[in-house]
Amino acid sequence: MATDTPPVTDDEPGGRFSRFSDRQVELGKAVGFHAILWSLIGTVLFPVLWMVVVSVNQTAFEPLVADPLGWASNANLSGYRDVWYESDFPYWLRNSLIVSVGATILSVAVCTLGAYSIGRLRYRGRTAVATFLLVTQMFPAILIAIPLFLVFRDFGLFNTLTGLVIAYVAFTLPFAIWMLRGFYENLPESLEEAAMIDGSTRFGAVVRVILPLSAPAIATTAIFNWVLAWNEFVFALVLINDSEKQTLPPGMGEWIGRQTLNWDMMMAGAIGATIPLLVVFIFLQKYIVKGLAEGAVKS
Amino acid sequence: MSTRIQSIRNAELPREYYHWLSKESFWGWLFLLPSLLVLGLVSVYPLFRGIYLSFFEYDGIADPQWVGLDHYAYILGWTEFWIIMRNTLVWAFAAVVIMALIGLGFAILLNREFTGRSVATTLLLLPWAIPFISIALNWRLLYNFELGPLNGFLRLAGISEGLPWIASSRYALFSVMLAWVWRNFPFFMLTFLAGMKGIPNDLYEAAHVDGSSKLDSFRHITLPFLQPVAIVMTLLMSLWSLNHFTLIYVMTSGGPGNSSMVLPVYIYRRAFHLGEMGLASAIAVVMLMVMLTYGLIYLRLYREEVGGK
Repeated sequence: MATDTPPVTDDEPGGRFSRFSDRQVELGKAVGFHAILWSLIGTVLFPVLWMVVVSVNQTAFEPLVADPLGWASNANLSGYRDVWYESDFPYWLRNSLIVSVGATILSVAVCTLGAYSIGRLRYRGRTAVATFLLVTQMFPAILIAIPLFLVFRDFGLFNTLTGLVIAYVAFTLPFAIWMLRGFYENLPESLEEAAMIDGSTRFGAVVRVILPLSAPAIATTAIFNWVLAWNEFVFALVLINDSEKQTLPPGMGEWIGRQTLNWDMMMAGAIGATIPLLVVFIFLQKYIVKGLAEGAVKS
Repeated sequence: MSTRIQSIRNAELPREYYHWLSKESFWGWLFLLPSLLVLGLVSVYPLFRGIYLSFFEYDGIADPQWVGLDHYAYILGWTEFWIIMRNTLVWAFAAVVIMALIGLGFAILLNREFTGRSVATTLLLLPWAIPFISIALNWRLLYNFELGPLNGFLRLAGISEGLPWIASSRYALFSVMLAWVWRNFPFFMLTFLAGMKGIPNDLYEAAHVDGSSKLDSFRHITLPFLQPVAIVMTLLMSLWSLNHFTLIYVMTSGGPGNSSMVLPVYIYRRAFHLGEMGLASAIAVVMLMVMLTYGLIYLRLYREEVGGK
């Protein structure tokens, strides 16, 4: 949009394209543009396509190209059946859902208050807290994981989903506050003042005036927390011991070396693990785009 | 609504307004309390305990033995450590540069009106909606020597009999990095697109009238406008890259040899496979120093852009 310049023909009426009308030149450029764009998109999406192809009928590349109809006629769902009945996948899926939902809800509740505080209120020390949040992003997760394993072992939280939820809240919190903070900074001043003069406390004003206004921004933050929790690997690997209490990432990671030949099953599992993320993504895509835009390009 | 606020603002404030409950500092710290509590207990306390642990020999079971700075002395004089450190830095920084360039390329392509634009944007965001574990398994298959479509394509096109990809110490790190780039370029694409939308169109028109070429406008208008966004994204992404675990752990486990080993995976194996929690913590502390040094220098250089007002 913004980088578009007027058509070339404006500048060089008798130039290279003189044999073609303006309309044809425009059309040619559009065709070229779409050809480049869509072939790039095809290349980017090829891995996803391959995941789907192998999940319904395991094949190498050459046989598929040689006989696509043969591949299609033998397609079946045995990979999906295997992953559901022959592995601990159902447990992992359930645990991932529990941990991600729990961590997302708690983290959103905690980070909304924190972000409001840093983004909106004026007091000594808030800049230091904001910097501290950024500094926590410089902590290696594995450096936290080793002592956390020891602490959780002492307090009976080792090998429990509760412990994992606690770890994930702390893990998602700094970035969540950082994202949401930008939104609160940009809200017009004195929104809550009105409510407060009507007799609300600061907390009441936040709940009644600020929360409804910031629902879309909170939704964006929740999505980011959800993605982080759904993807988290190290803490689950370190803090959970039993396969039946494990989440999807370390659980499926165990397949490497054990299921070396069952690629249809592994790809079916990979797709299964994608669905909860994809559903969120499809329904809330506009918030993701908006949130990234606002979080990153805040004035 | 706005007139109402206006009239309230002009009215005299009731005495209760100055009560301590109305003080912003009180509410500020109260609202921060849950966050600080969680971070203190689950982030800061373990961090210091990890630093403390690095001065001990500890296998997780027997009593810890104080060894002072021995672990650090050992690490610094140890060639394997430096190879892993180099891998980690290459992994993090090369990947971020490639992601940023690909993201910028797609942002330029998408930054115009055309039919199918929102579909194209959505499809390009798709890698971001796939969990790392699925990407790791998926790309392991893509790189498979016999079954993988990459080698299949190379053979069909008659280019080569197939490359060893993640199975060779030469290509392993780069191959895993490609998967990491694939997952994360949409981040840069989206932030650059958002940044481009914020550039006033008049600037381009004025430049065009002045006779600047498209390339000049890009260099002197687009890039400077994108710089603040790029700086924040680059910092976050490079820190996330340094911390990333899943793809390397699942795709190569750091192998063959240590050719694709990065610090997080190595520290994990030392601590939990070999039971050397003290030494592992010491390596992690060195990693913390590297990340803090990098991060704080970066913040100092770009204080304005990162928003540390």
